[in-house]
Amino acid sequence: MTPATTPDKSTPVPVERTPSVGGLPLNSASSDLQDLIRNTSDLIQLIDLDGRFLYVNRAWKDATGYRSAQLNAMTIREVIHPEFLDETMAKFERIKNGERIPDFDTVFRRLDGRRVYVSGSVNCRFDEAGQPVAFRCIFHDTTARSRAEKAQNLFYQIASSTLTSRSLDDLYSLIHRELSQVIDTKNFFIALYDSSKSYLYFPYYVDEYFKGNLRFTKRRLGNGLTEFTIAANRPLMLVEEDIRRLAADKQIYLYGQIPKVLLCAPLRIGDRITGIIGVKSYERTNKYDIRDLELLEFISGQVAQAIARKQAEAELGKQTARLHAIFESSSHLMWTVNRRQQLTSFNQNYFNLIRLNLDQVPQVNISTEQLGWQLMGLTNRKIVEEKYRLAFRGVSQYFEIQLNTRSGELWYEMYLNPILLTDGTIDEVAGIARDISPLKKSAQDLLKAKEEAERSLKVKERFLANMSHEIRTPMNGVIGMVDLLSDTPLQLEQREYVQTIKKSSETLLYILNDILDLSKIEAGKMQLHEAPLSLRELFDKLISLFGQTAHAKQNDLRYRFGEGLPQYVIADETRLLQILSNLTSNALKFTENGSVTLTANTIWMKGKWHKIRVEVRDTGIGIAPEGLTQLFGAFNQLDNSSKKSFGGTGLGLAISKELTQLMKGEMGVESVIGRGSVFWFTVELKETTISPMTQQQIEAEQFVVKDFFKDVHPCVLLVDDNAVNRKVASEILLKAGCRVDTADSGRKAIEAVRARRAERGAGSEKKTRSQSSLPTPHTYDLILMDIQMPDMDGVETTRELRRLFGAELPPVVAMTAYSMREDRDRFLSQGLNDYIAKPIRAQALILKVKEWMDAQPSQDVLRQYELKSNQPSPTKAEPTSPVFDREVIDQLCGLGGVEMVVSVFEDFEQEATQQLADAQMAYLRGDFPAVESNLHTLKGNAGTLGIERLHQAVKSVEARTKVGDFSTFEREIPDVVQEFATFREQYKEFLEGL
Amino acid sequence: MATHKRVLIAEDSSVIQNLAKKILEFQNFEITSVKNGEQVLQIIDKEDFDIILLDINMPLMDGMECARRVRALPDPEKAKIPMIAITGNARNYSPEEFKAAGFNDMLIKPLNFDALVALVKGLTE
Repeated sequence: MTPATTPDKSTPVPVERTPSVGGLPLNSASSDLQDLIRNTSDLIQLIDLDGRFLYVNRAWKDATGYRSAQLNAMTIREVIHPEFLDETMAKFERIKNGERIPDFDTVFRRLDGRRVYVSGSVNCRFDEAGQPVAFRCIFHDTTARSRAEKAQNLFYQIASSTLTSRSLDDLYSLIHRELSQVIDTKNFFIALYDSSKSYLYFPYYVDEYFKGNLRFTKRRLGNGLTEFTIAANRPLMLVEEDIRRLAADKQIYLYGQIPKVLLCAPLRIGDRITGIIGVKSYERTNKYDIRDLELLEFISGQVAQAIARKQAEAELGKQTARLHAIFESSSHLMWTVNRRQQLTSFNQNYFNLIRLNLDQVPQVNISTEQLGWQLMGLTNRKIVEEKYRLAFRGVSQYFEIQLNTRSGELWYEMYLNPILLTDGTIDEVAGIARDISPLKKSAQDLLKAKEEAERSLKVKERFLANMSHEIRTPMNGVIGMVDLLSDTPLQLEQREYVQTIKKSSETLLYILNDILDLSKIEAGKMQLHEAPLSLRELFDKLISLFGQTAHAKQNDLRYRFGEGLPQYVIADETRLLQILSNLTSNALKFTENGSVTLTANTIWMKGKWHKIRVEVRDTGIGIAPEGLTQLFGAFNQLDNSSKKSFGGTGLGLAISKELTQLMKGEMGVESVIGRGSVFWFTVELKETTISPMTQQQIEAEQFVVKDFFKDVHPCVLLVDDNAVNRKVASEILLKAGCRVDTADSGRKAIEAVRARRAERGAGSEKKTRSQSSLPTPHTYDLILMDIQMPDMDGVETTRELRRLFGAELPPVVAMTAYSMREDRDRFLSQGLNDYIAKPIRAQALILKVKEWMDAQPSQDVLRQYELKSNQPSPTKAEPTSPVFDREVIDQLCGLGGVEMVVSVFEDFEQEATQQLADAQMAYLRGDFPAVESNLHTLKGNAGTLGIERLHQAVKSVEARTKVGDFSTFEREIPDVVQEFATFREQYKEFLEGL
Repeated sequence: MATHKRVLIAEDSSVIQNLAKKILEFQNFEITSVKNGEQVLQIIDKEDFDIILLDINMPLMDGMECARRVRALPDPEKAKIPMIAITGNARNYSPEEFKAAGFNDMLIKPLNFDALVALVKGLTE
């Protein structure tokens, strides 16, 4: 039992200066000794076994706050802090039993409730009988030291708390727990700013009056007590009185219970305040003193650091978790490799690839050479090695590589990215890869599909070309025969029928041409054949073409030219008219009782170049927006074709659009349903001062087949395997006055030429008529040669003929359904002299024969000259041709401008004067080669420059001199001189008129 | 065109020479003209051309002879310069004969300059 358990109330209370019970020599002690005891800073107490106070000195009373009067009624048990009571009483008991305790520590509770930590010596006084009677205690106040120790411990605990606590919540309760070792923390809180600073939240809040505790929801900064203390930005100790005054001054708003005292300190990291910690007491004002506040301030920095660290750690944890989730959930293979090519991390997909294909389990620190690289061929390994090398030098790598897996060869796309550490070094490289085989495959499929499509497009083109060729051959028969038929005497009714057939076959040709045009455009083989043309004439022609149609539907059709539009341009008239016709016929088709107006304007000019915009505006039914986009596609209107009145295939717009592009322009449409449409296009055309010839067309219309060759009857060999074609051509030729032999194969043709030569060579009839100086006669005047024949085609036949007959062979003109103009050059290079396209038109065929008859004077032509020369009064040949060939000169102007032509003509005038003089002089000298040479050049030059009549005149002379016949030179040369004079008189004026 | 293609024209008649020169210059060719076959051989010894237009009927050395000599040149680059014969065909050469002389193609007088331009372009591309 402790001595305190049996307190004896009757025992007199010891007081200062009262002689002690145990006969302490207080009375006998000197006053000096008394003074020492009274004034020492040590706490001295003498208590009896029951704990009653026998004596306490002043220092003791100062330290505890009790007065002597109070102490008389008290025991030590009431002074010792309840927390330490049992422990302390036990120590007294041990001392009573004779034990020695060198450092006796205990804690008193002051009158005001605060603790006083004491440490010192306690011993027991015994009476004569050896019975213990009292305890002598000499303590010194260790409160400050203890506080310092605790503070230090606290500081250390909090500093290491980031290591010992698992989470932020753990940390907060640890801080709370540790702090409570030092000061009262029945009410403790941590308040933090939200990073945005406008929010305040309490991650930790323990309060006697707030039982919901922990984790206040965050709240907006207001004017509460906490905010006030934060705003103060320094440690604060506020007592109830202060708080009430602040509330009265409206500095704060009070909520809840008002504490008796509040201590708080800001949490600082550097200059930044991150929050606040505080303790409160609702018990008494003096619960804390200024040292507690200092303590709080002392640890606040650590708390702030600890919280910040822990927050960063939590953030890092979150970030890691996030990255990990990405690392693992991705469909990509991911891994990292260090400089020794060892795996340092990898994800599940990487793991799976290695395990499934190599029966190995990848592990950290295994060399990648034993892993992923096993899936590559030697060459690829070298590549990858190099890529790693570059990645370790800081250059990110991206490449595609083939891996040999058990599921076959798979393509992987691979990224190697250097992992840059904060100091800029690279220890590892991160690899990311994914299987792109399906992607690759679909790309390949796509390519294959594209090639397939292109191939079938080619097949289509070829088919179109072949088909149109196949169609052209029978068309040849139809159109040719119709031409002939319309030349026979017909009844009115018959004539109408023939006209219908003619029109229908022409329509068919238009369609055929459309298809051909499109395939030519698609094959990039469309070429424009440009020549000067008058825009006004072009539009007039258009109006006259469609006037009838417009009128039939009560439409007003007109055109309007803007200012500055050039009068003449160089353009492909056929193609331009094709575009205009197409747009106009479309406009008329969808318009009734309205108008179709064409306008043409120059948009810009660059020198002679004009960008011209043509609009075809109708007031028709219009086109829905969804229709507009499909409009220019090929074949889109095929189903409407029956309604078209002019060359309709539905290809029209597609072709027109392509043609405008060839003319460096574009085409478009704007339309409003019910209001009408505007189709427009632009083209870039060069202005010219040359006016085009329309003479030819007029002549063409008056062309008469019958007896075209009145005086001369050319001998023609017609070679064609097709009976219809033979029939058509020979009928035309016969009707025109030719003599015609036919052959249905190459071999027959050779036989015919051979037979003809034999006949002529042996025949006396011709020979007798010919003069002895004449060269070996041509077998025929002209051979018309079909190109496509079985067995031996036209080109082969011609080659063979040339081999057999050489210079005796007459000109060979190819007849072919090949319609590309480019083919012409091919035939010419293969030994044929000229070319005529099928279907054979009577006029074209006859003119072609005439052309060659003029160029190569035949036996018959020569004979005619003879006849003429025999006439008594030889007169100049009728000047049937114009002085100048307008077409040739226009072409030259188109190529080099009028100025060039003028200067060239001047050159010619000078040179020709010389040549004529030279030729005549040479003739007088008897230098016939020189005569021939001069005439030959003069002939060529005159022809080249389109000086037509002079050309003809020289040609006529030169045809003889060329073969050594100078018999008519003297008679004919005046014609040449005369024509040359005419040229000199007229050419300047003529050129000025261009 | 960064550099113009160079055309050498050998033509007796200055009319045709000038005309061809102007028309081809208009088409961005650079033209050098000479009067006969001998001059052709002299100039191509020193300079490079992309194509040669040869009149057949020339004094001193005619086009046929000139073409054969060009094709026989020791410098393989020069020996294969494209050549076009320009002829009124006074002597009725066959296309085979022009080919045999080394011409790539031929044009018959009266000249069609459209065809000339097309041919020159075709052979210099």
